[in-house]
Amino acid sequence: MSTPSAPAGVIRGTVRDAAGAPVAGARVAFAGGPVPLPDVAALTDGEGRFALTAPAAGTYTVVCRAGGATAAARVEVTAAPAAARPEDVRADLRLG
Amino acid sequence: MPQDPHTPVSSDPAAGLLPADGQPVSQPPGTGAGGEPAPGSSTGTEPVEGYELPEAPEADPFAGPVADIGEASFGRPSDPETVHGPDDRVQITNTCVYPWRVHCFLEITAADGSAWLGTGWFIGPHTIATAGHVVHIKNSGVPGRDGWVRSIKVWPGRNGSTVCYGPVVSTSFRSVTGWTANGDENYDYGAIILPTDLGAQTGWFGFGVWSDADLLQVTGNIAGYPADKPYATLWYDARRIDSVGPRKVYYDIDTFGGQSGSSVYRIIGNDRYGIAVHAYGGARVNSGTRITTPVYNNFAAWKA
Repeated sequence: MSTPSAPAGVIRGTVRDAAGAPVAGARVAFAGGPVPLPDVAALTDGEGRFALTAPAAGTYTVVCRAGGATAAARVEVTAAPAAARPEDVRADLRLG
Repeated sequence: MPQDPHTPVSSDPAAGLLPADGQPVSQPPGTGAGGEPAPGSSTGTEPVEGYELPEAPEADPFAGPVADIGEASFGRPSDPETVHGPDDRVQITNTCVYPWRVHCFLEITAADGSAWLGTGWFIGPHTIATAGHVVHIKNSGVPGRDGWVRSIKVWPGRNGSTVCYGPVVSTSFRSVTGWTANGDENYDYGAIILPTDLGAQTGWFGFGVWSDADLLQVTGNIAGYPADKPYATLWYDARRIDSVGPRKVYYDIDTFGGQSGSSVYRIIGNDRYGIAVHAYGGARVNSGTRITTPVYNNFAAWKA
């Protein structure tokens, strides 16, 4: 949710159900990353969207849960040296 | 004002973080309405039926390659998990009794309207301790998100659809500049001030400052609201403290997103005392902001 310095990227995505409809109120959090991460969880908005801060370059595991269904994705954030703004990375999740 | 990068630092223990006489100091818990809580077990854990303190693995110096020293600061370089090895967490369902009702499920609305989940714990009648990043967002990279959160909805002792108390909505928060200005994880703590004295019913945990040697002998307990479990359910785990830093406590107690702000606490007899505020999931261990003398003094002021 917060990071101690300018982040390397922002992981944006949408959570959808098995039929492809966006899921509001799904819980999305990191299950792993290249550095210690704040232990918060995001709730998706009315269109199923979320945006998580990736503080450093590396591989992140993003998981989501809504009802009894879960989904996970691994995403790579690459550090852009002296980037003016954090890299935007997509991580769309489909609940099983 | 930016700090001078030539500001000297030292490996000696930082002055003023622990009591000068070496003696622990603590604020007492309060149990709220109802009977006395059960005492802790002989291993320093909560007396939860079916729960046993996981065995700490024996360290084997010949088991593998020596870790890069960078891992000490940044964790393992790839794919760490905040649940380490077997998932030892157990669900707590009698959440309407002390000590479980001290733990609060938090729904947070950030400045940009985004919604988040966290955990807090009563330290007084109207004060809930939590992580700094729960009440104030720093360097998110998302326009409009940084700064104090708009509001937090608080449910003490919630168990899924079972609501024991609340919710109470707060828009009054506390933290310190080490977090709000610098985003330094060593200062990642804060508080939620409630508009009511709901804590007089739920009770609260004490908190205290203990030496490194003392903390390294302690079983750390964490209860919180992880997002990988059914919504708004309380989960508990415990383990011996792994290591301590001047402003941090490290432990292999399983946590997950949603548990930021949980109490890392010890049990002495019938009494529960916070020793740190859980904040980060890491590679080998998770970590929280240690209750040092300055943290103690701020918590004492914020609970007044």
